[in-house]
Parts: sequence; C-alpha cells; structure tokens
Amino acid sequence: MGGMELFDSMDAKETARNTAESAATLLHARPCPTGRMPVIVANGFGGLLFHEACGHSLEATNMADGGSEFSGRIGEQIASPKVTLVDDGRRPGAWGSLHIDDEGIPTRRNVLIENGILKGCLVDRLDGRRLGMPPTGSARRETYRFAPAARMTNTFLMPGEDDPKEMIRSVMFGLYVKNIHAGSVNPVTGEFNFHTNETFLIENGRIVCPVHDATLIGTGREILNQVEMVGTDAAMGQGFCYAGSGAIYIGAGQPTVKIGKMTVGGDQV
Amino acid sequence: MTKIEETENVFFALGTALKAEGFKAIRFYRIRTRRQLFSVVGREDLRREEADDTMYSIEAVYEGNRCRIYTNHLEETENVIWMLQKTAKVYGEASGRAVCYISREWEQKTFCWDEPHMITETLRQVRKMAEESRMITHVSRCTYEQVCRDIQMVDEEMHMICDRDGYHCFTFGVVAEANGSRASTTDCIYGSHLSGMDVTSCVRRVIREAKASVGGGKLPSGRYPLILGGKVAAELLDAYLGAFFAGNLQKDESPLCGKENMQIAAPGLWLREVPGWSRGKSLRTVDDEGNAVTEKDLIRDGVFCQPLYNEETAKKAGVESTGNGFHPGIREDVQTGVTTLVLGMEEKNITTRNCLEEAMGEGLLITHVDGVFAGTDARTGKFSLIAGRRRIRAGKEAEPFREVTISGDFFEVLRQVRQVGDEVFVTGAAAASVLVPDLMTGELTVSGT
Repeated sequence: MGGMELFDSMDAKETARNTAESAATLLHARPCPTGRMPVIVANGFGGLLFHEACGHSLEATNMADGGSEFSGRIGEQIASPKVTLVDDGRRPGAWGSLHIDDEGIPTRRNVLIENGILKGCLVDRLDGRRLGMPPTGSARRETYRFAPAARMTNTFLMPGEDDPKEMIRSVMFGLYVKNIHAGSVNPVTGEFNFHTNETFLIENGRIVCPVHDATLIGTGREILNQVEMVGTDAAMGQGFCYAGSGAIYIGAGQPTVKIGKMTVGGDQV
Repeated sequence: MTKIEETENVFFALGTALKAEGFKAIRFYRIRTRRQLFSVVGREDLRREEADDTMYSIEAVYEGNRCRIYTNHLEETENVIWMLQKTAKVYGEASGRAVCYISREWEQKTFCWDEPHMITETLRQVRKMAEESRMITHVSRCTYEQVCRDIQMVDEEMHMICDRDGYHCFTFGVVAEANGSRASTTDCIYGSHLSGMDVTSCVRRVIREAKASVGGGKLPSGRYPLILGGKVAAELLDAYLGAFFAGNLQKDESPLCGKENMQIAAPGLWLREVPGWSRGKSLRTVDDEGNAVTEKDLIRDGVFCQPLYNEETAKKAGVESTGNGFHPGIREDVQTGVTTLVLGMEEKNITTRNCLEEAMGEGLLITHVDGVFAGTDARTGKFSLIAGRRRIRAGKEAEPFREVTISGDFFEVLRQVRQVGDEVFVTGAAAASVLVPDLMTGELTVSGT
C-alpha cells in the first residue's frame, strides 16, 4: 500500500511488450491435447492454482458446518511434504495486503499447510465462534453492502529446492503453463478448474510449441498430493477474488511447480 | 409531497443551477434499491440483511463534451458542478442530439413484499425437510431474496419516465454424501411472491439431483453426444449474450459477425426477448434511455434475425433502438442489456427429459458445470468447462461421473439441437434473466482419463 511510488515499480512498457508477445505466440498455437498428464505451472500468478485448489476450502465460511473437503482435518497430512502454504495479509507492498481486516482485527501471517500437514484455516469472528477458533485477521468484504467473511489476502506456496529447468526435462509428454487466466472451485467437493493463458506442450523434456484452450481440473485433495517438485523461484501475482462477500484484491504466488498428473481439457482427443 | 415529487423539485433546482453554468442536454437518473435477504444458517440461526440506498447519475454536455457523474449527494450543488466539469475531459465529444423523454403516466407497478415471518417459516421448513432426507449431510444454501428497484429518468425540460424492476428469488443447495463421496447441487426459482413459487418442488429437485450425483469417477476422453441440462444451457447462453449485441457486432467482437439473416441454430429453434415474463427476473417496461422494451425474436427458426441496439449503436447502424440500452450499474455508461430471454423450439420437438434420454440412447447428461466466467470465450463462441453428472445408457440415466471437461462451440451446440425439454431453467441472481430448456445436441469433446 502506498502512493505514487508504486508507479515507479511498474514497467508499463515491459508489460505491454510481454502481452503483445504472448498474443503473437498464441497465433501459432495448436489445439491442446486432452487427458491426464504432468503439468508444470510457472511461478507468479500460477499460485492461483493453490488459491482455488485449497485456499477457498480453508476459509472458515466453508469449514464451518462441515462444508469443506478439509473440515475436521487439522493436524492431518493432506498434501505432499513439499507443500507449505501461507496466507499473509502483512506482506509489504503486496496487492492483497491490509493493516486490519474488515472486522477491525490486525492482519497477520497464517500458515495454512506446513510440509503437507494442515495447520489451520482462515477465520472471521462469526465462523470462529461456530468453529471454536479465534479469528485470524482474515475477514474481508468488498463494500458495506456485504457481510464480512473469512477470505484470503496474499496466498503463496513457499519456495522449495528444485530446479525449474530440471522440471521440464523430467516430463516426457505434458504441459508448461506460463500463466493462468482465472478459475473457480467448489469447496464442498474440492473440484476446481482453471483456464490457462500462455501454455506450451512439452515432449521428451523440451518445450515444443504453444497450445490454446487448455482447461485444468482436479480436486484440491488430489492436486496437493501430486506436487512432485517445487522450485526456488518464488514470485507473486495480483488479481481479484469473487466470492460471498464480494470482489476483493488478492495476491497469489508460488515458485515453479510440477504436478505429477492433472486432467487437461482441450480440443484434441 | 411524494418522494417522486420531492426528487423532481431537487432535479429542477439542480438543473437550473447547471444551466446557469453553461451545461446543456442535462439528464438525471435516480435508482432506489431496496433489498432483503433472509437465510437460515445452521439448524436455527436466521441471518437477515436489508439494504435501502438511492444513487443518482447526471449526464450533460459541457463545452461540447459529454460529462457524467454518479453521486448520492445531490444537495452538494457546487461539488456536482465541479465533478461534471472535470469529467467533460473524459467522455469525449457529445453526439449533438439532446435527449427528450416522452413523459409517461406513472403506472404504480406493485411490488409485493413478503412478510418476514412467512419467509423464515418457509425457509426453516424446507431446511428441515432436506436435513431429514437420507444421504443429505449439509444444507449449503437456503435463502430468500426480494429486490425492488425504482427508477426515475428526467430530462432538462423535466419530462419524466418512471419504471420499476425487481424479483423474488429462492435459492437452495445441499450436499449429499455416501461412501466417502460428496456431491453438491444448487438451484433457484423466481417469482413475484412467495406463495406463488413452488419452493417445495425446487427443494425436492435439488435433493434428488444431489443424491443421484454422489459417487462416480472420470470418463474416458473422447467425443460424446450430450443432453445439456437447462440450467447449464442457461449459464452458457448468459455467457454468450454479448454475441447478439450490435455494439460487439460492429466492433467485430462477436462470433455472429456477418451472420445476420443466416442459419446459426437448428431449424425450429427460437430465442425471444419477453419483457415482464412472470418466471423471469426483470419487470422493466422502458430501458435506461427511455425507449420502450419490446418483445422480439433474436433467433427465429434457427435464423439470426435481430441484433440488440441501444441508441448509440442504433445510430451507427441507421436504425431505431430496440429498447436495449441499460446501465450495468450506476457507475457505468449505458451499454446493451436484456430484460428476459427465453430459448425454445417448435412444439413437435419439445418433450420430457426422460423422452430426450430415451431418444439419445447412449451419451451424457450434463447438469453441472463450473468455471463459466473463465472458460468461455465470448468473441469466438468456444468454451471449455469442468462438468459432471450422469451417463445415459440404453436411454436411461445410469452411473454418475465427475471431473471431466467438456469443450466445444456454443453456436455449434445450438446448430445441432435436435429436441428440447418441456421445462425451462434459470440462472442465478447475478446473471441475466435467461430461461432455457434441456437441449439434446450433438457431440462435444470430453476430457477425462
């Protein structure tokens, strides 16, 4: 959060150049293959994968009443040991940061999953009483027209030790997703979906060509356990999240990650 | 003095002040939104939200440029003048035509506000009914919403048009679970008052659908013929409504560019705008530019026969507005919108869902999709969505499936429709008012295992 100095940190020309290059690349894209295959998701806004796959399911609004696939599972191994997921509303300069939540409670760093073990969830005052848990400074709403609810701020996967180039070399037939457009999740069943932007086919350990119209789907439970490699190159992306208490600013981030197997929806059978 | 008369006086005073500052072609727009939302949370907890707010937007021409602001403080005359002058640099040159509304008799359309105790009693009863049902572990949604919007449009000669919009919406969702597998279903119905809405049938339908969707796994990837459940088809139509807007056609941003008066859907299929239809959620009789909304066919016998125009796009095309100029919200300029759209087919091709399944023989019934906002491309008509529900084997519903994607082209789906169901389904309150039956169509690509 800040003033005009934010403009100095943004390179509009570089962003425009990257967007134009991305559009030009996609002109030559082939139809995306369908089926189950390894997927490598690049760093940055690829973190939306975890935002949708498990972030919403860990909001108290969904955890209360047993409405989430992770309800009642705090303390259990729910993910690969390579997964440590954090939601941090105090991250300096991040898009989803704020000093106090919309119930007046200071925001903080909340560790949701640590080495694959579910440590906690995001809690507002009302659902905190229902769950018997203290609020975590996570209550947010778009405007006064919405009741506050537990929502994410900046949610990111902590970096690991794997080399992103090695991840690509390890895939015989799969996808490299450079950025994700948007997605959604059903917190009850854990089923999520994403539509990708710049996506490339990997064959025999090399990126060979761009593909278009890829949809990635799965369940949070499955994907968390399919995380095979986590890179060292953490980065954050910015976006908006639309849910029960309106549209809010969120950050989502991760290093480059390899998912062992995901269902990919495309045009080409 | 009524509220309308009071507002008229405020507009008159402000209009006089604006004219003295050199503003021309002044238009006022007032919208009062009253909303009540009741939900039963947990076993007994009632949650009630109420809102009553009024917003204004003012449009004018200043030094040859358009200007526009929105505010809820009309009494701050100096501030209003200052803000309007500032926005004159933003909206560009004025079209040169001053808008003059034709005053209408204020038809006091009644909006029926249901009594809170009746609403809460109904919600508690249906919630209990679901919770006592086998396999239902959780009621995820049990809400009743009533929204009423009063709209006033006044031009600088104080000609006034009044209109009213609103709906009642019951939404219900459950989670069913068996053998470690869960399925969730949500549905909604609209009406003009609670006693006229078949809430119990809606709840039974939701419970039945959730139970029938528990379990199941992925499908082998391939191409399958489909029955798109009406609710899914309605969500898709809502996503592609923009294809019919003249603005998008003129900018070459519609998959229907160059296809006016051409076959874009199966013979016998029609898409009609029916303002004020009781099962929709729009009551508007005039659009936000003061033009009457009219019943019209967008598709007739499969032929694309009528794009939708507001005044700006109509002027570009040299035609009259079709009464489809609406503000998406008070902060936004007039764009193109709809009242209620209904999709249907000629009578000989309408039948029950069971008969559709029998006629199909082998295929898929899709009654659930997700990711419509991200997985649809309004420019090309293509979509790729996560989907689920049940296989059709030997003409009957068989085992459920889940976690597959369906990919295709929406207008190709319409071209391949062979028969439709005899019941129409709606979308959620955030979407446009569209009503669509089950569609038995051709093959789509399915990605599973």
